Amino acid sequence: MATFNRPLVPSFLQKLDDMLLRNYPAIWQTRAHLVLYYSVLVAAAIFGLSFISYGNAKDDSSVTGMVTFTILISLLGLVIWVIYLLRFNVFKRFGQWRSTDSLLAYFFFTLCVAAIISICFIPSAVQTMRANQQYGNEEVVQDINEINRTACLLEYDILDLAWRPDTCRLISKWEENAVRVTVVDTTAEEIIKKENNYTKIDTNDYRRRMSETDSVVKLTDSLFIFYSVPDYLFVNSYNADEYTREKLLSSAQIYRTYLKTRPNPDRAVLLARLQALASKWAAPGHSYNDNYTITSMEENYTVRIRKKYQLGAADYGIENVVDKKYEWKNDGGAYYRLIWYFTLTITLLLFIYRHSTTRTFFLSILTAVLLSILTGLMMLGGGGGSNGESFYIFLVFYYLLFGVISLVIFTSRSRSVTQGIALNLFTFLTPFMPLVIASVYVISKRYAYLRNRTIEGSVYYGMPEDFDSGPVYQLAELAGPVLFIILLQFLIRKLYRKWQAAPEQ
Amino acid sequence: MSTSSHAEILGYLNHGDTELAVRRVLDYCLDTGQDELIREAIRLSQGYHQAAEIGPLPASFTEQALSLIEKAAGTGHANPVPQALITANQVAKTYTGGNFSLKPISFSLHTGQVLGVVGENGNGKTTLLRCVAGQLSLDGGQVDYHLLRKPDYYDIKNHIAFIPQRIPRWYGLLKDNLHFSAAISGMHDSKNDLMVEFMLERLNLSRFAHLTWNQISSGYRTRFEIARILLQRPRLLILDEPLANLDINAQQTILTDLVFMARAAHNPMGIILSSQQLHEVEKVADTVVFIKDGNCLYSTNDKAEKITSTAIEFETTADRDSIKALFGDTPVTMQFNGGFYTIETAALNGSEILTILVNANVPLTYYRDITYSTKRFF
Repeated sequence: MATFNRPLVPSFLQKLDDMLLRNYPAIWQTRAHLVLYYSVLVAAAIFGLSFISYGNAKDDSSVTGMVTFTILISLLGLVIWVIYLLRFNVFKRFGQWRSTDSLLAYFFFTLCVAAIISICFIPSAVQTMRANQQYGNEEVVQDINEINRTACLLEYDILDLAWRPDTCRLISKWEENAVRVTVVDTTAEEIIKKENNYTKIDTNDYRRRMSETDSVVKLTDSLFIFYSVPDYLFVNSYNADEYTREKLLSSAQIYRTYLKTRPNPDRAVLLARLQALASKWAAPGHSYNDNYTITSMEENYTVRIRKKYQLGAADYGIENVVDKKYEWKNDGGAYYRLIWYFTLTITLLLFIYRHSTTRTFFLSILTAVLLSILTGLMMLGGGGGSNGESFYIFLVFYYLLFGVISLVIFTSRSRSVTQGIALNLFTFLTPFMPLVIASVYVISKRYAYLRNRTIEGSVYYGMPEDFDSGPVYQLAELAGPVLFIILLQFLIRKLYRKWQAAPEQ
Repeated sequence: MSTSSHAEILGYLNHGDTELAVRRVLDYCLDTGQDELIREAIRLSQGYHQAAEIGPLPASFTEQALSLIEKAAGTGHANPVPQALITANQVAKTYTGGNFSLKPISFSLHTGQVLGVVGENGNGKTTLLRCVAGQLSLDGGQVDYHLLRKPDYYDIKNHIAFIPQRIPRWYGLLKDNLHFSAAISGMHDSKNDLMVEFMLERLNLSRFAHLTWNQISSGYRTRFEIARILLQRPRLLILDEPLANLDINAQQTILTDLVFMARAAHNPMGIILSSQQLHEVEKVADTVVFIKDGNCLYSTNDKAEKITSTAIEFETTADRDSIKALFGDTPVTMQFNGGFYTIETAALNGSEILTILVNANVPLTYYRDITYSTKRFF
């Protein structure tokens, strides 16, 4: 008697398969247990491979190649699973399905798709993990500060110690006109105005400069001298101190703390320490000229110091480490959203296919494409609105239309393709509708704000300062799945059940 | 079932119809509803099939079978009482844009009964079956499902099993599909295993259970589909041309099995089947309806009203004139279709015609009285 054995399936999984088949057919038919098991195996392999590959966090990130490889693997897994699901399409068989089976199936579809898609993010996660293993957050900041400080102390004689002034006049269009007719009574201002060597700045620029400047001298209410310190940062990394207690020293802080008075360091000790740090952080195979001579050919003190102590390689190494360490902290939100929305879309398509007929499923896709084209044409003809609000309003209209047509299924005596298409599209749009409505709401707030600003006589584009659209969208992102789950359990499931069972014409 | 079935099985055993006896022992034990007896019956059947492969059955086999049916008889289960299952009243269907119409047809069916639908291809058999199965909307008439109260179409389709002529392909292991069907019919855990094992053994499919769809012949596919459907315990089983892919022995076996199962106490059901195999269908069906061009021309229920003459068909090497001469002045209508002769007459019955032919030493290779058969309408 021939038997069929799946590769790498241990006995416990076979027992689980048997148990699910006999007791929980709704879960068994999703093949979630096999998908999750194979996903774990593949994830472990990818993890191992990545762990070995990303041994040195100072290296250039080579994650792209590995991610491409894992995307192909995930795609392969997804295709195999989907083909299996589409072929073993038993979910539409009539039987004693439990009322929660549709929900359960949807949940396990989501789990499977998320597991398969998440594999693509393993190389990046391992890279971050390895960087965190090798270098502490505080350690990076301390070393950057020490390198910069030490280099300054060792090379005090060649440093540029003069602060650069920039005289600025805070001015607006109204004020500018006024200045032309107003007699200026401040001597300093008069002199500067005569020489015409100040920079005109508006309020925004003024605020930015005030927050960034190393020092400022206020001459009058509208006249300022902003001072900036020469650059004493030979190695630096953007955001390296975002998650640390110790902060990166700015050039001004280095100047004030170490360079204000002539230092008298133990040069031998400092030199040894600087060389050790430079060596510690030097990116393998990175030459000094890699990233410096592009912008500056002249041998200023910065170039000379970086060249002398090989700090370019160290800077590059630190940059790589910091990039890797904080990749998930900085971009994690985007990654999670990527996983979620890919998962949501694929799961919805799978779910709809499994509950619909093949013909109706593909006709639904065709309808969606045709409606998109039609909507685009209508928006072109009628104007889409500067914020795309017409598009969102069209979506709301379509959603309501599909919903109404779907509800007709309850009273219909036969199965119609139109109702099936409407139900499929209604189901697909449901989890996105809160986002659409949130977008309409945010746009309406913007317009209301614009109207108010226009009344005040100033054209302003943007959002009211006391309104943060972030929480609105976050709420909508949460509301989408919740709405879908509620409708799935209490409406969509019943509609599909009714539609499937209805006789054909 | 108790006494008559008991005697029936004993008769099969005494006359050496062991395979049939084993199948009936399985049915008998299933009707008791006792898992242990069903298990014993499965073991008996497995033992029979293993022994049959090797050689003659051991002497103990009959004793085991007798012991088992004695135990089953001891449970005292009774024959099921036929229940009204379905009434189709003036069911009619016209395809949109098509040129075919199924004219109003009425019939009714009880549990334990078999309704045969016969007719040439393209005359509306499948349309009628699909209308009854709730797969096609009706343009006229109505179908009442007596065992369901205010059913929606999901209930109806859960109540009815429809096996189309072209069975959709199965994916995965055959056995897994059976377990799945049992599971969605509410059979879980050991009950699921027991019923799948039973059905495999009952339809003699155990040795194919671990194969896939591609590895079995079309005949076995039909049998597996029947096994799957039976696991779902439908109350009405509708089969569209189920005999098309079966060899002559399998046709007989499947038909008799279906009749046995329809009348079982375990899950008494009605059966509607369409087929071109007129004689096989007529043998098992309680009622046969003949459909031509969408019209129900004849139902065996109406035979007393509609049949006024005898019709026989036979095959012989004798020439037409000599046969015609045998009937002298008796008014008979004789036709020859190139293969066999058909004689229709209101003056003689089937036995009298056969007597005339035999007495005249007409060399007969085939003879059948088709007076009440739908065959005469083809």
